[in-house]
Amino acid sequence: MSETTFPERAHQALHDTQMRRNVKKATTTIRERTARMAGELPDWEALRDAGSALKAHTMAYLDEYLLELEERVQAAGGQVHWARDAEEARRIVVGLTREHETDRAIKIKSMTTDEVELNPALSEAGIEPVETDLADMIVQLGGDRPSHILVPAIHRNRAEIRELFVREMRDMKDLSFETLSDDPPELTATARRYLRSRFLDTRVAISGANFAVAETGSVSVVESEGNGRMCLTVPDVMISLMGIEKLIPRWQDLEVFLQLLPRASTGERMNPYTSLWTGVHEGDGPQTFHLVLLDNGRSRILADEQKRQTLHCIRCSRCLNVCPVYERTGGHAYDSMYQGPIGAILTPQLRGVEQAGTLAEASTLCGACQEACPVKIDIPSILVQLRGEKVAQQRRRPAGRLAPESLAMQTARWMFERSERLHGLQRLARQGQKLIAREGRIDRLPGALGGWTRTRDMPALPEQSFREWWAARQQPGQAGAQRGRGNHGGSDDSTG
Amino acid sequence: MTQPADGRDAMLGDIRRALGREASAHTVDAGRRPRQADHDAIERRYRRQDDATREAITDRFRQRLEGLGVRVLEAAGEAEVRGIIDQRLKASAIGSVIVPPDLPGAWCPGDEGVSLITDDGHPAAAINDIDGVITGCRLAIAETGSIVLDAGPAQGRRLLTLMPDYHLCVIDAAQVVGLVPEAMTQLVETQRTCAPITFITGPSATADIELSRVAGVHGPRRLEVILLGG
Repeated sequence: MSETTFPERAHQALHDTQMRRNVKKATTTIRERTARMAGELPDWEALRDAGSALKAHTMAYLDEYLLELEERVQAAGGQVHWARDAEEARRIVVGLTREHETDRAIKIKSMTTDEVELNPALSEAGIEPVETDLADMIVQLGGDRPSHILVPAIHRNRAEIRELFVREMRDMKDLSFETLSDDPPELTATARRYLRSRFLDTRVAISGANFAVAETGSVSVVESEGNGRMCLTVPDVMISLMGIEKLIPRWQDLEVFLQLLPRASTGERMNPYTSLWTGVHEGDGPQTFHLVLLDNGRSRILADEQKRQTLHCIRCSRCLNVCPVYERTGGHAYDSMYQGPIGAILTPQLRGVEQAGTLAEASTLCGACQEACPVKIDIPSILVQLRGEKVAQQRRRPAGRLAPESLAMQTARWMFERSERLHGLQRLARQGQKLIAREGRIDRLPGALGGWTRTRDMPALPEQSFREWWAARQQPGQAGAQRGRGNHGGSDDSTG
Repeated sequence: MTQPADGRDAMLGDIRRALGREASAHTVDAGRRPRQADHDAIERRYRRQDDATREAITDRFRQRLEGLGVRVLEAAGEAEVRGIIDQRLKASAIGSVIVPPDLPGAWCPGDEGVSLITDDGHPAAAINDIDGVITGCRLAIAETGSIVLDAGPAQGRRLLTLMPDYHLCVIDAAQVVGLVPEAMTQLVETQRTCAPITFITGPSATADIELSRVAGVHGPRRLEVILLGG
């Protein structure tokens, strides 16, 4: 993880015009599509309410449901493992993979395996992880990082992808790279051929999970390409790593989430493929199934009743597509596999505010994310809470108390405590600004305040404050005249 | 195989503490409802039953399929199915098809030029060389245009509908439900047998390269439906 802050990374990202164009196109297109698909259902709001209530209920009884899930998976022939943190998850998954004496594992798109940094651990153990989702494969071939939860390679254009394929798939037989164009169908067909042989001769597959049903022990993967079905069907061994928050109580509850997720995520009525499996099934699919349950900071998030909502997320990525900050900075500025508004609340909680606290500032608090969220997570309130925690933590150190922002806030507090202090300072500022104000605008503030006016003007303080105007208005005989000037914009019958 | 040592008890303890309860499964929290009662109290104001007529539901299903790029062929009765199959296989230049062992005889191709393979546990690599597959389904959902397979009658193993590039699915109009919740209710029975379930909604697709939609990545690139008695 890098040492830089969100503002620094965002600043850098803003100069990448290609990336900005791609991200803008992606967010605009998906935003329109998801809005159409959500709007089409007369009961969309009722589904959101039920989804939110179901998640809140699951979290309140999480331990009981996890035990029920464990029991059901075992009864259906699967094995369940518990991983407290990323290190434990890596050790378990690498160990299980090794048992099958393979030098390769095929993977289904999974943010959870990214979160625990599984791929480097597999490589170190001599097991080549092969990402099979097209976008993840592009990211992996390019030694790159994902930039969007749903379309991770959105920062790459077709010409770059063609070049990558030519460079990385050199050893593929009967493929003429000289004639390979950068047409998406042709590139996709190339990926299909490249991966087909890997699906057929790899014994172990590794996945995440979209949902797991406590009542039945069923696990679900929701996808578009069919790479998930390949991994879930062809190999001998299936290892699924899931965050403990992916649990849902009962089979029937799937009816809510299977409607919410595709419409909010890709803007489809249903995604092309949804797979549900329960333990192992004789004669069909992997005959060994391991389910690894991951905590990695989630139980800590559970402890705070407001922040707990963070765990309701079903990873649809709709909040990214409606976020004005994400649309401009793209995903890399978030320095995490979880980007956008949900990343801004999830990453600081998983890594700690001291390490990733600037992410909580990556928002204008406009509230678009909360409006869009299919399970109604109150992202803005959690952002504000995290900002508060970060400030409180900084104040505990002398250097933090004396930081410019902290001093400014302490001054502001002193100033607003007494009205005479505010008045005195206003009078002082009105005198002082004569040196820098031009026609009611200030285009350059002095010293440390200059950052504010670097990209915008600030209105100068008016000749008369509202309080002064109000006091003058109360005096008989003057009120009408003052009001007549209308310099404070109130209508005549306004009570102020 | 022995289970490797892991953080099970520690994790459960962390979760219980986070929820403000004693670190034991058996502590009863005075203010807490039993979880079943709490689950039952969740408000479900969404539609759970489609009030539309059977005809309207079938129409919607047909429309959704066509919107997804799925060719829909109508068969008034079982007797018509084979003719349609032969005609479609010919038009799609399918030289070999695999079928589940219990596919009704009337749904098998009659054309002798097509090599017919009945699945008897063929390895994946062998199925990979077959052009097409014919199956039935467990049910279908009009609202989303989804076909649901649960390894039951006339469906076979999951591999069959995955490796070949062409999938022809025969669906009885009576199998089409209106909404997703109705499908989940019917699938409760499947859950008792732990059989794998697959929802198929149109051919596989990706939009990973510049958001340009490409049909057919790893699953069958062509999906066709014969709607029986619609």
